[in-house]
Amino acid sequence: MIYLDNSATTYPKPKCVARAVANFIDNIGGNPSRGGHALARKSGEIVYDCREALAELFHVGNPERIVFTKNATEALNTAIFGVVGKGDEIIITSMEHNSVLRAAFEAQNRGARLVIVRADADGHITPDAIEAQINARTKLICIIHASNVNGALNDIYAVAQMAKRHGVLCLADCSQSAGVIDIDASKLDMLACSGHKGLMGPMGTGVLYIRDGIDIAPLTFGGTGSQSESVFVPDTFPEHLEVGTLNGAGICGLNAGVRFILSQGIDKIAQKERFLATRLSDGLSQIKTLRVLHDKNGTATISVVTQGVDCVDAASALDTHYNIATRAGLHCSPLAHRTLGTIASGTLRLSVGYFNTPSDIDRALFALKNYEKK
Amino acid sequence: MLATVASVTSANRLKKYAERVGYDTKVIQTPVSLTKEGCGYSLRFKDDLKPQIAEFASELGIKIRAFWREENGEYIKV
Repeated sequence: MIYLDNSATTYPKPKCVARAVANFIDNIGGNPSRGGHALARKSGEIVYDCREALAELFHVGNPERIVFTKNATEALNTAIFGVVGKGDEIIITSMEHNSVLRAAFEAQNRGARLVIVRADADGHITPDAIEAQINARTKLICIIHASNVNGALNDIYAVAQMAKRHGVLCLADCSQSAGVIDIDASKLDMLACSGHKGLMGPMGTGVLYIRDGIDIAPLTFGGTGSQSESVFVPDTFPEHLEVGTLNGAGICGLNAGVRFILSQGIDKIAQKERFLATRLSDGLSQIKTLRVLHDKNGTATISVVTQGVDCVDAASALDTHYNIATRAGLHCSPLAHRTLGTIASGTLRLSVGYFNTPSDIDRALFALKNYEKK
Repeated sequence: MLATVASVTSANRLKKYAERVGYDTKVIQTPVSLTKEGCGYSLRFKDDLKPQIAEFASELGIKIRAFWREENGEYIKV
């Protein structure tokens, strides 16, 4: 199998991830932050260790501001509904994934005002375009760092800086960039990402970073293993936003994934993925029936419009006849496809990961060229 | 001696920080009699480490709710 669906989830994972998950289930197993016995303590230590690893990866000083969620969607929803209330305004971009788009429309249903800033035809958004929409009611700007359709990379630091000048919070959706691009979250208000994509952890893990000094309302309410006599969720982080039992095994695996990234070096990962993505993008550009959508300065996510062939049929043929995993359709990003002019056709997405090889890329190109001839 | 803190996260953060400079501490569940808020977590360490633990907590921005000395099975607030 040649796996080119790393934007959906990375595969394979580093061997240490599975080992860490198995070790947690077999030998640790205690509930972190519940009780004081040795297994609960060990479990709590591992969860904290993962917060430290993420704080190091994202260059933030306080690991207590790293909140675990079940996925990026939950992290984004927590941030959005924790900040935006009735009468407030939220600005998003036309490149957002449904994890933001649907949450923002729900916020609108609940009485907020929603503004969508259109990106250019390549999927880029300028701070100026967003700034033009800010008014006294604006509470939150939500911007995707790297597109899950064509890898287009946005300057989240410039947007965060601009937002700060206006006293507006900025939430960066780094689901496609965390672990593959060096991110300095100390320059951001909030960052949300998946744990199972570039961070190489298991599914069922997500991360929300919230800068010191920002207080947001919880999305869910329940036990935290602390301050149990109070009928309210503690205001201390991360427990304020982490109720109920955590995904201990998943977080243990995520810790292994993040520590693997730290050991490899994010620059090495970025360099390898960019090399392979450029090789793939250049090769795809040689195939006459394909229209390639890719930001060569962005991430290793490439879309193609398969002219004359339904993209789902193309993905199915790659899977069936060539044992190549890709993804076809709208990738949960309908507005992005409107922006890129691909809403009617959808795209075939090929997303490269750290464990792909040049041979994988060449075989994928061979398959697409061959398929084109048929 | 015990230092009571707000959460297991704060307790673990303090523990790791102390460990890095060679101090041996342990995260424990806070005895119910020491907290008005129900369940909680504390750091246990040798009495003579109190100034260092207080300093570490201050450096990390962790609020220590109280220090307790253990004497003859009882806890005395210090």
